[in-house]
Amino acid sequence: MKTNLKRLIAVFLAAAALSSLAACGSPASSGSQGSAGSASSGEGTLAEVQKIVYNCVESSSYDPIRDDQSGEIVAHMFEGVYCWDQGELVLGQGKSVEVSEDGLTYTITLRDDIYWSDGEPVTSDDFIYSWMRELDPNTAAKYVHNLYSIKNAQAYNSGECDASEVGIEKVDDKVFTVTLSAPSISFEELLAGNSYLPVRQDIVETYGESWSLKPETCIGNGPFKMVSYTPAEKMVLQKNENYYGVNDIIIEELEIRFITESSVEQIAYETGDIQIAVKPTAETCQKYTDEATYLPKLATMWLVVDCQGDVLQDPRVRQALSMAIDRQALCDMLGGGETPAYSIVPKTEKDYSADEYFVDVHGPYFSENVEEAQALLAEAGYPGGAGFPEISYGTSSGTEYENVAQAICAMWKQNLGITCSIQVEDSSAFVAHRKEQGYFDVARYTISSTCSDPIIPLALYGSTDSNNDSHYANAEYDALLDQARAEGDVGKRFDLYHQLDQTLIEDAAVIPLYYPSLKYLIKPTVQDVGISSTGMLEFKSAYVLAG
Amino acid sequence: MVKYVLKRILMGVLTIFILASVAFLMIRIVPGGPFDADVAEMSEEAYRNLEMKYGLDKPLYVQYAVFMTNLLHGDLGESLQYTGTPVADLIGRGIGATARLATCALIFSVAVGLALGISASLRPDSGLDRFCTALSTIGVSLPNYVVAIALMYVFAQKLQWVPVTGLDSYKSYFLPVIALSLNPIAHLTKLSKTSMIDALNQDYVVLARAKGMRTGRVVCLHALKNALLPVITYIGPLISSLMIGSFVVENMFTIPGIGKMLATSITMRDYTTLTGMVIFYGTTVIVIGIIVDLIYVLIDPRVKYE
Repeated sequence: MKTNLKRLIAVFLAAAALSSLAACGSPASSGSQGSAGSASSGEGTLAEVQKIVYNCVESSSYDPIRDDQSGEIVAHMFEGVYCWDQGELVLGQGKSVEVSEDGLTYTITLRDDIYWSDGEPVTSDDFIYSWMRELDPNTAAKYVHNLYSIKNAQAYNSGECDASEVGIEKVDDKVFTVTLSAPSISFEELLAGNSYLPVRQDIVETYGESWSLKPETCIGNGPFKMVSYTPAEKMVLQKNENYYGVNDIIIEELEIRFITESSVEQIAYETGDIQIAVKPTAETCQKYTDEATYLPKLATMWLVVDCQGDVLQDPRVRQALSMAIDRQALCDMLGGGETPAYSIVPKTEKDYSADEYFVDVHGPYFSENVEEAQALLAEAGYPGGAGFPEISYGTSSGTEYENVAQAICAMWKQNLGITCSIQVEDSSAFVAHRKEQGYFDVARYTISSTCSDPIIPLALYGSTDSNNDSHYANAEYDALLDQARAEGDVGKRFDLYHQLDQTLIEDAAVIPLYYPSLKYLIKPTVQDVGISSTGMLEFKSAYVLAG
Repeated sequence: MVKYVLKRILMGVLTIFILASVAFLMIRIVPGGPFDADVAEMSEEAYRNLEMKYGLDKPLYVQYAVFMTNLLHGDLGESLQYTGTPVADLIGRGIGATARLATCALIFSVAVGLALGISASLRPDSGLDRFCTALSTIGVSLPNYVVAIALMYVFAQKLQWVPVTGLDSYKSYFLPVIALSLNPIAHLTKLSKTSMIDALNQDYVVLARAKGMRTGRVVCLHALKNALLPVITYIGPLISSLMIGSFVVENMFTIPGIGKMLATSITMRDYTTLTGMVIFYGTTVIVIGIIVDLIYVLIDPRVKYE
């Protein structure tokens, strides 16, 4: 009886898989986030053992607010008001979310059938405790800024107001309200992120900061629960029987390996030790075309330019540097699904007022043009690069970054006749030096957005922002930023975002380079692996075919 | 003898104190702080709160005083990267894997190195001797990284005899142990061959041979003890280097040891973990040094410590 049922499910799933593949096109092609899986195997029968072994980057903690990696493993074990399912943002622990007309108050009602992995019910108190814990300055949470859209959250985190003034209020055990300081276009997406995941007060307070590193104390409310963890080697998760959607989950066990070397990961993938590789090289992806999936990452790679520097304070020089880069050549060199960028706003961020990708609505605000770049440089007093001092190009170590640095310097030498020295440093030293005005003339920069909102990269260049590593100061830009932050109307807000983008690019305070891609190798037997907008894998609908 | 050991222990404590102070200062002189790598994705408030939580906002002399006070109480502090985890716990959870791997590599290297070296010394210019010379050159020249990848390719990928990663079955030890042992085997082979040739040319050995004693007995009863002295001198630092220098192999084979932790603590500027690891490694080297000195006395009665 059980076997027949399994076969029935298998036939249904195989059909679903085929239709999803047909809808998505070839999994090897680039496209929007969603489900990923290699071509369906011939038989379409479910494997006896529904277990997926895959590689992932290890975090130093699985406490949602301490996770210093992608948050993927945390997202297997914890779930927020919203969650990701096959690349779509859907309600998770939330039954409903009502937004007030002014866009400031969110009334969140939780599901009735939600439980922690030890069987205790999930309540409003759990969410409120977790968010307030993160905002508490004594907690010293790294990514607390994700909560700053809540009224008085930043002030409380800075020690400027009392906890009771923060815009979070309990209505009853299953309902609570959140008041924002300004309307937000991405708050619902943020509610699926790590910063908004609930944790258990009694667990945190009883077992201290390392509660999330042991299976017996890592109590979550997500689709999977931790059953074993060997730091720096592997973690095993099993289906959480107390999860409300447990009956829809086919995968019984996830074994997560922490392989750091991509060459080792490749061998492990080829031997079948792992079924999903998350850091394949472009060459490996080309070798396994049918098993490769490329997806645009919610990130942009760009160069910060020292706008206060002796030479680069002249916008014409900065524009010349930007125009003299052949971005397509960079992408071809990298060969892993990267695409040229002419804005620092990630390619897949939407303009909600136009229902199009943000970067497709306006722009690009400049074009690559070597002759024009040469003319601008000459106009600035450096014809053919004569008299132009050597500039320093800073980057953190890594094959990709170092190759890009060499290629760009070669382009500047060839197209503009200027030379640059490449300075490679480890991440910590590089970031510290990049902040120092005058240390590097140009330096690599990237951030991975936690949600789709163009303000995240654009706000970096406010003159008072601590991460304004271009040292760009433009009163008009600051005023636009303030207006955009306060604007409640989505259409007007996006107009302001476009103005910010245009100002930043035309001033060449930054030099956009390319959009990085996410690359995965997935065995043909593994189907319907979901990928969130930030590139996290999820397995709620995944299954393994026999063979 | 007891006086000598006590003196060595006192010197060791002083060395650890200096080592800890140097490590404390050096890591803070290096550009970049423990939270700088993520600073682009953090708010100013978050950065400030983190500095306050770990006392990094205080003047350096205050931080040093706190560090030394804690150290005198046997507290290595809390890791800056692994929030809430004491450094001692981090070392504790990684030392098992590193020690198992290092022990296997030590036994394997000593056994193979001695066997090859002694055999080669008994048959100069033979095929075996030439093989040992070639092995010594290759073993010293090839980096661990290359050896590990080559071993994985042949034995894990092509032949599929052993798993690629981890250390959870006896089979999984083969590749990392070989990768870690190749260099020590090369050194030990060369060293034991040279010292055995020296020993075999000593008068008492010539006499034993002249009396008609068989080669095996001559080697085992007379030459080996003397030939082992330089080898033991090498084994002391070898144990330390197997413990410290295993991070490449640990990283390649995804082994949860402390070598990998040391490398990460440097790149992440995890001040407390790094100083804790330096103290741990320093203590290991000193203790092993004392043990090696004591073994000398057991093997060679001529050695006396004043």
